Amino acid sequence: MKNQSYVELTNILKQKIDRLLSEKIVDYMIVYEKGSLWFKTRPKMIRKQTDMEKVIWNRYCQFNLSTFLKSLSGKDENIGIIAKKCDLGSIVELIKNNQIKKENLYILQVACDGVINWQKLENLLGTKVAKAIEVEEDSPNLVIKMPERNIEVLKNDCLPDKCLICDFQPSPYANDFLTIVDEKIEDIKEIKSQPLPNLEPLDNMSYEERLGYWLKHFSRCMRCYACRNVCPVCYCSTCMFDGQEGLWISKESKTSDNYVYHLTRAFHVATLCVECGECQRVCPVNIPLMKLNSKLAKEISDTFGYQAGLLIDDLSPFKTYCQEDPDEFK
Amino acid sequence: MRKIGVFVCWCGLNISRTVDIKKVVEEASSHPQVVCSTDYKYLCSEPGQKLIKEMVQEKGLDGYVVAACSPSMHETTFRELASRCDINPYLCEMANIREQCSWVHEDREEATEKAIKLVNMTVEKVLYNEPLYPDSFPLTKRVMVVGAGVAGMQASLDIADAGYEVLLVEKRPFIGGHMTQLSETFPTLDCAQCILTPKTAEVARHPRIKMMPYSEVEEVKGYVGNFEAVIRRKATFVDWDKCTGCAICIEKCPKKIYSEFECGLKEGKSIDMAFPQAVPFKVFIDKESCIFLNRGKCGVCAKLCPEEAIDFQQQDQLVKEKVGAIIVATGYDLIDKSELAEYGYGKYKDVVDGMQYERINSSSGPFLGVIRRPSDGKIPKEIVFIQCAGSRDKEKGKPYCSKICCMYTAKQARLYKHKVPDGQAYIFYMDIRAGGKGYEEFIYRSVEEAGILYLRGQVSRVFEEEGKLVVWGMDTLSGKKIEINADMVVLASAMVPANGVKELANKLKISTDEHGFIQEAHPKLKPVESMTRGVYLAGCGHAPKDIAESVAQGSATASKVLTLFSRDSVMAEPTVSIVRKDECSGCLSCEIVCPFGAIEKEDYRGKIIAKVNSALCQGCGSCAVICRSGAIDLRGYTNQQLIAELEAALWK
Amino acid sequence: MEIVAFCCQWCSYAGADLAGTSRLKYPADIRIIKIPCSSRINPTFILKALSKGVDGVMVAGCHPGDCHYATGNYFTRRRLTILKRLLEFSGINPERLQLYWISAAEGGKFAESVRDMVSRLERLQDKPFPRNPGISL
Repeated sequence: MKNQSYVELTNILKQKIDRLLSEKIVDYMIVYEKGSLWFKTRPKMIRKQTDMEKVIWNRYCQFNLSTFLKSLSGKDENIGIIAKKCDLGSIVELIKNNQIKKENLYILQVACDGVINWQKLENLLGTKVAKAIEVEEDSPNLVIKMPERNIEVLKNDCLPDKCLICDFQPSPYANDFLTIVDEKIEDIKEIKSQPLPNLEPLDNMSYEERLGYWLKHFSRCMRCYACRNVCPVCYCSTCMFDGQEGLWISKESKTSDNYVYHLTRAFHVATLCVECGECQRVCPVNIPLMKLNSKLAKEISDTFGYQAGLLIDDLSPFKTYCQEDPDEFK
Repeated sequence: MRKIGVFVCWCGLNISRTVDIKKVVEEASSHPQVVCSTDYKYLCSEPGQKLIKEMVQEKGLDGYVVAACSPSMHETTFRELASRCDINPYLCEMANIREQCSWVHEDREEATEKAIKLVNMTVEKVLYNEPLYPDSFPLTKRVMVVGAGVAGMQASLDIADAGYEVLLVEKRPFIGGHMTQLSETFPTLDCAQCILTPKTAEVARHPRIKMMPYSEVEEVKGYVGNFEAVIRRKATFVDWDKCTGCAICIEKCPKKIYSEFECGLKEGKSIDMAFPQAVPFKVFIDKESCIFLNRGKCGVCAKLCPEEAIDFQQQDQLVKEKVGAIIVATGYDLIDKSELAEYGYGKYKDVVDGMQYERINSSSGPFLGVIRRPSDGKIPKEIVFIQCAGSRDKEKGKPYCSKICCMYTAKQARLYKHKVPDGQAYIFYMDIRAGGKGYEEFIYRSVEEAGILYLRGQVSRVFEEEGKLVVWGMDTLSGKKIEINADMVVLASAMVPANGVKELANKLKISTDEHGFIQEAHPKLKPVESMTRGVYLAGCGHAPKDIAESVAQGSATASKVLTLFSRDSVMAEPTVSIVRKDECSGCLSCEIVCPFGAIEKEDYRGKIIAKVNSALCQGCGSCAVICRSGAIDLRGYTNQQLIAELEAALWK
Repeated sequence: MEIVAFCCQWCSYAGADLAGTSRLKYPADIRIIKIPCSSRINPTFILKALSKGVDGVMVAGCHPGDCHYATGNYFTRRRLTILKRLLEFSGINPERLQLYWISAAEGGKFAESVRDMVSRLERLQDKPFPRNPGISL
């Protein structure tokens, strides 16, 4: 989408939110506002129409606002939330798992054709994004306006993995879908045909190489738990690793305990994880956590034909069974 | 800090032969919280228990570990001892160093090392054991018996005689079960009706037995002491309060139908009474075949009934009943015809099953007790009985023995010889299983006195040729092929669980085995209990058995129920799940996976969270695992206890 | 060989007892933890055991369809099927986790299963989780 399209969409969005608040359809809205730098955004909860000016919508609204819904269960307020197509999946999971009632939620889906992962962009540019002045789209490229010159990069190379497999269509669970007429419909198909982020490099390793690979990563884990805290489907009131401290893993950050933590985390979000990529995005030491999540999602899909975040009425395959389930045991 | 005692049992030589007891005792005593560690030859003996008691008092133990046999053997013994020592029984645990150590390992060093570990694991677990107290629940002292065959009737009579109300639910319109169809019974050859009728009459007139014939269990909720059953009383289209059983309607009803009671040997009517001695002595209309109910015309019965008892408007009724215990006595059917095609069953009229033969032999049956063959009514001069027709046959999926066939076949052959002295009876058999009081003697008399020809071997085929049924078989004793030109063939067909048992079992949350028979809680020690507390089982629904055994089981279930009713409340095992309210996220995944519906919802600080109904919880722990946060945990097997045990199990 | 076993108390633990009463012999490399039902096994128990460097974890439950609690082992079967895939992906040979269906009547199968587990583990080329992977690399 062109920058102008984002501006127009932001205006429609503001009008919409204004109406939702003034007509008391929602008590407050969870929205994006401008972050510390021009290419950063941050979440904002607005209750007053006077805060409306802060609402923005642009290609840097990468993170998943639904993570702010998970601590709200039990409160009887009506909440409005801005959601991209990818965020709808985790909202569906939160509804499925009784963390929020659908009737208390107003989901405002906004047209999106991919958000920018500025770390990826930075790697492409070889310099800090902060040095740039502006980014404009010139399909299929992005034009990065630097003080001295413009740099063009392929937009797809700057998208997070989740955008490469997204159809960007309206979700049946959205209360409203905000869009503008844009010439981008054709490109959407093109984006969809991108290959899936694959797990092959690991598949070809021996067990020892693979364990070594993971232990190298896990040895860097400081157990800051950012991956857990940001995860929209890590909704437990008290995480098992906090509840009875030192019970499951020791307090010191041992690699073997980190292994237990990370595999348990992945297993716990399996059947709920919608692969929004937030855990990996926020990891301060860049552990490729999405590899674990994607692997489990794939296994669960292959074995039980189940995909998280699709339908509110779907039951997690771990909460049901078939007598004829595959049985590889003796 | 808790003070733990460790007591290591020699079990005579059973443990001490392979395990260095002294070393186990020494190692255990090195644990900082083990304040006493000792051993004894037989800890379960009186002096052994006395030793434990003394040590508990002397050392002020908070809990103890008994390293001995399997907990399934003596856990109760040592936990009861704990109670007597003023220790909560759940602070006593057993380390299994016999069945899972000394008996399975030969190397003394290895076995000793493992025993030391097993003791240590148990000590670590017991450090986290909490004192647990059983909950108690009120109890409805009323029982529902499902199935009014001889087993169900016996159970009902015993319980009603003891002073409690019984609800006797029977799917057929009469009580008495299959026994009402039998002619004479082995090994005494007394008439089935003669011994059964007094019982059915007693059931019918018993003030504390509420009969519910022609009814089926629709739904069961609740738990031991507090079941709530919904029973469907099927419409009979006859007001039974008015019906006198005069049978004018039966006589005049124009619609002839298959008679289940007569196994198709005689036709029944759309309005009928199963047999002339039926209890209750009432008629009912078969909904499927009645001309009036299907086409709105006829109504002859209504016109002729002197009591105006016919009511075509009658509807099924759903009644709710509260009971404290349930006895399942659902009985059997015979294997389906289609499974016995090689014997020509279903194809030739003169190939009959054991139950049909009983009707033929019955003085109230289609031929008034004269042995005639169904096709033309001739008296068969050569008759072949085939045992194990379907039973003990893996290919038919019935590898089990139907148990009663050896006896009733001998009986049937003997009755044949009484009635047709110049006829010849042959019995093909695999083995003769006559384990019962007077059974073996009965078989012998059949062979020696009655002149019945026993042929050991199986029949490969039965086919018709020139008006005869040709039976091809093999005598495995002589190795010769046998061909008999018979007038009639009687199959001792396999018994199978009655139709609908599986569905009933699901409603009651009890399990069935691979053949559909109801699973007992333990094959030896709990043969009449089901897996669900408060649900007991009697008769052939559990496995094939004869009348005497069914009656015995009926009485056994009655005694179980009476034991339950002897108290004013039900005690529940305290090893159930519990929710840490503050940690529960309210996702209610536990509710979905709980097989017992034990998870309820609770409003806690404005949030809906999970709550365990400890009367329903059976302590499987499924909830504790689906719960990611560990907010729901299983008492007796908490995460903490299991991790303590696991960490102690690890090799250093 | 170092093997931790989780056995459900109704079937496989009773099966292990029967192996004992029948005096069947099997390797002493196994340490049994009794649980009420195989569905009580938290995958983290298994991860924890493996991360401590044990050679294998054996889980034993009632045969499918025969669960004392009606359905517990069906859940276990699903969970462990996926857990094995995750272990494999994390670099632990999935053979190190085995699930056996052993009834209370199958003392012979219990002993056989322990032998099977040991021989499978002996055949593995790869190593179990390192004993001391350290605080950091």
